[in-house]
Amino acid sequence: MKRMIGLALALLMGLSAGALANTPDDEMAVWLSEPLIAIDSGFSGARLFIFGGVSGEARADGIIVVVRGPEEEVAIRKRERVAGFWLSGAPNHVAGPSFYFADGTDKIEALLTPAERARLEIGADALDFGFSSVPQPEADKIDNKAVHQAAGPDLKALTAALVADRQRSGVFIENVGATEMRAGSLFRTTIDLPSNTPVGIYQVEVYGVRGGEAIVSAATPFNVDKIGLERGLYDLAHKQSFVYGLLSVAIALVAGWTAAAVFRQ
Amino acid sequence: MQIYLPIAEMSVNPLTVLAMGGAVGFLSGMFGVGGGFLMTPLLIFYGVPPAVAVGTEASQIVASSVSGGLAHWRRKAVDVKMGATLVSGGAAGSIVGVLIFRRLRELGQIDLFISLAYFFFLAIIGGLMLTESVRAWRRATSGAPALAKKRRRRGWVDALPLKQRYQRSQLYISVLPPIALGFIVGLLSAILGVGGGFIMVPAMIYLLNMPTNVVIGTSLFQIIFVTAIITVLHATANQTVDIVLGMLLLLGGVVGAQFGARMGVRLRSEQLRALLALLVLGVAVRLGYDLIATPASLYVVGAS
Repeated sequence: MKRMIGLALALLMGLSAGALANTPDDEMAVWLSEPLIAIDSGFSGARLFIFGGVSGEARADGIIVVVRGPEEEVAIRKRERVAGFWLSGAPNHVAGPSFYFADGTDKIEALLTPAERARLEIGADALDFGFSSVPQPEADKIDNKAVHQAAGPDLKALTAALVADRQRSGVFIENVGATEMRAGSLFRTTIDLPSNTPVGIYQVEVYGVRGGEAIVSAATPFNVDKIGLERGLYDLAHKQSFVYGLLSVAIALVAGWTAAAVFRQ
Repeated sequence: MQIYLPIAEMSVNPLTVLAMGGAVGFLSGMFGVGGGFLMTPLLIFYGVPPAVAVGTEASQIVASSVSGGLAHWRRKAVDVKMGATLVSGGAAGSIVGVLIFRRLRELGQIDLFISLAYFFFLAIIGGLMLTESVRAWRRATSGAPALAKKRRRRGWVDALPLKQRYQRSQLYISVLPPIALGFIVGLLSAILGVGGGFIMVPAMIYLLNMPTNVVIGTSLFQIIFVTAIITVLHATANQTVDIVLGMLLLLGGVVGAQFGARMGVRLRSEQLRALLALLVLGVAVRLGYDLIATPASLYVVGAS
């Protein structure tokens, strides 16, 4: 009896050890061409390569790459016609990603089931936007549900409008056919970040897909930041605004004086 | 080629911005106006956020006013005491103006307010200028003698208290009108990103009865100090002054103004004024159209 229990335990341990060896980490890997996108004075957008592979026992039919930019709060207002002029109404404060990119080796709708898309929050309609009638951080202090929701039927319209606005600005990009798969397990995506891409920490998520579901995944972050003179000026303007103001005036005075002196008749 | 503007957070073609500064500078040199009322709407049309356009334009006006004002200063065509009185009103007005600006921004109505205010402002000024210049043109072509500039007879202004002697303008007048005038101009300058010379010059001539030879110099004196204050206030309170954009506009502006001034002496004064009036009305019409036409999107997204 003791021997049989011993044997059973050994078998169980052997099986579980085998299962532990197949952790998700060694089934999918992702790399970036550039972990820091530096905004300098000549910045007009940047091209980023995301690449990696699926290994181990997992076999993916398709790859999906999602990039989410830093959280941002904006105010969205509805325009109404008042006395012939178009005026903006009360603001709805929305917190959501400031940048969003989703692309796959095929159209995302074809690679994932709607349920899986919603679970992974892929697709403009599946993104998580938090609405409130007052801006953060006041909204955090208020527990009232009414504050945290815009007027009911308007919610869908507001979300659609926000997504449309972001698409126009070029910071919401979907299904651009920039993802390729090679040798059944290697992939690469090319992203062209626009010149107005927001500053902050971005998250890259890659998924190996089979049968409408994600079977493996990996994630890695990258940073977009101003550097050098641009960073210095931005920091000065926001942290030492008075000094920055004086500097602007000083430059203007000197420039005006110089111009008058140079062009003196 | 692109330059990234750190405060406006957008990339611009520096040559385009230089050309814009140059064009407005040319017009300002030719007509003897500040140019802020043209530059700010132009920047907004180009895509610069209105709040940044107003704040940055204030710094550019400082530069062009210094450039233009120095010539007057050298000829001693500035009434410093009157200028100081105007500036005291202007400083108060600009503080109130920047606070109003900030409040409007918080309410999310700043873009609309600037467009609306500019529309009315430019329509009225353009209309007045057009009628005045057409009348002057007709008078000139019909051969009638030019109207002698009369000093206005004593009016309500002279009945006000707190009088001061202004040597350079040969005036003995209450401080209240200059302070009030400075206040109004400071307020408008802070909200619209203009210099205010448009209002000040006629007001100085007709309301304060200042002699015309010191009016422009003193007006520029006031504008320099008040727009400098406005620049610092906008930078501190709203963080909407973009040094890089300002410098590009400056460069184009001062060069353009020199060429414009040289060109201006060759054209007849009435024609110039009529042309400027048409330009001003053109900008007003464009702004008005944008306000009334159905927008591309029913929703507007802005900063929280």
